[in-house]
Amino acid sequence: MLRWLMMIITVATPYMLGAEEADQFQAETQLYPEAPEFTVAPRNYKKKFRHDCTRCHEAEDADPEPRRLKTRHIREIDHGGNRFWCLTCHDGENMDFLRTSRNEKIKFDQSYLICGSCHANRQKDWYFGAHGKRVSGWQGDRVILPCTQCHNPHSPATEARKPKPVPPVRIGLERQQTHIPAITQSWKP
Amino acid sequence: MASSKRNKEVKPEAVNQYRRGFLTRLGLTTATAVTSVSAHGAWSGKTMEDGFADFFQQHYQRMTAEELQETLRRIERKAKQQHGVRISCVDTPPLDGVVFGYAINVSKCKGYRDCVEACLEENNLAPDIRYISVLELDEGSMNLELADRYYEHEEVPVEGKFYMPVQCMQCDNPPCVKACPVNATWKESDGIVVIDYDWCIGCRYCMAACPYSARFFNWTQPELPAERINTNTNYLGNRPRPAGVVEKCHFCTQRTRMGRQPACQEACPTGARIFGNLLDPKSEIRYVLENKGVFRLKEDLGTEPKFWYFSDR
Repeated sequence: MLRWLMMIITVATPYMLGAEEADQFQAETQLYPEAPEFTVAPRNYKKKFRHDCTRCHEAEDADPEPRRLKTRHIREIDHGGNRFWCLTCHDGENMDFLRTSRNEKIKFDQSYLICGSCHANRQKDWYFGAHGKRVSGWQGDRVILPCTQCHNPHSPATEARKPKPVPPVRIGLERQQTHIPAITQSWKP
Repeated sequence: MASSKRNKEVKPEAVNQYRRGFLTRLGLTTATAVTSVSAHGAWSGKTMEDGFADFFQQHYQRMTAEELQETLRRIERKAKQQHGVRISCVDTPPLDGVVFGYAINVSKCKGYRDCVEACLEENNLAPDIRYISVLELDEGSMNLELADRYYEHEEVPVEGKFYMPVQCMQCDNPPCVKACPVNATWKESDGIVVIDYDWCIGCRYCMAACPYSARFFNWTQPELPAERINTNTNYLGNRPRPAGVVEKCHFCTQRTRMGRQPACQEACPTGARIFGNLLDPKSEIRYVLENKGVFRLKEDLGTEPKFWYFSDR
């Protein structure tokens, strides 16, 4: 009975509290006031990243001790050369939020504030449009993708994959023997 | 005997009858010929009216607004008849205060060729033509003669290689335009070098003049399956081209003149492509040009390409 009650509380709490709490918090997002205005496109993640952390962590506080995790967690963090632990970026008090190195609590959509604490150059480029991708037209409102849309934060390197088909070779441009073959037969009178 | 034959009288009525019969037969034959010809494709399936209008079509820049509208409707009819698809062909004029520029981050390009595929679909290209070539080069080298555009790997990027897409550079001082003997290609006010496909005589001088191999010739009528045709077309852009004309990248005029991004930028999964207005000081492209180490291809030729490359380093 107690177990059932626990489960109901665990499932229901984020829906009751999570949404309100998210609206309360406003972080300093405009690090570069001279950068052109932008809105961040909503994240469109693959299913494997979509975790509802508070489902479990509402009932059970996050253990700040770095260790190898077993249940329903990402096992390997291929980022930061093994120096990272979940709470480097995630907020230990409310796992549905992130925490910057300046100890600001931010939403998942504002992940660029965390990325910039190490990758400041990239972050500046992102603000001004030399890094990242603009998904709206070149004119009008500037909608850009967040860092975590292209980089998996737990393994940020761009994945290698098979390229699209080889372009056809136009007639007359086929690869040919570029050098004249050496004369092998000796001269005969 | 012969003189008596010669002197034989011929009645005037008979002459008239003979002449009338001849004229009737001639008229009938001509009418039949014209009907059968127009039905059997002497105008390549078009009506005679469209055939004549095609023949006497003016240069794009000399057409009046009405002539242009008629031409656009005729192009739509032609596409329906040739490819079985109802397309919409419009003429979008260049925007005021806009000059387009493009920059590619070579550090971010991974050689996936997604841009090449998107361009193929967007611009109704013949199956053997690609406006974009992604070049594979050895890291630390810049010898384009040793570049491989036909690389075939299980996975890209390959260790020790880097990738550099090339396409029409939309030169500000375009040698192709100077080479054209009939003014079928010119630079628009937004910086895009365009071609009037109906005015091109197919001499291919422009191809010889282009130092970037960015122009392509349609040796045959491009085979476009109906389901592959992009129906949103533009007169100076991606409308279906006839055989015997030159074509090239036009920065997707059908998209960019409406405020959209070119298809290659939209398709790029790494965000290596940056497109924008060079005259807008707050645009991304201007930030890149002012803050990054940019270079252009074959700058020494003085072609002034509006296509830059840069790297994160």
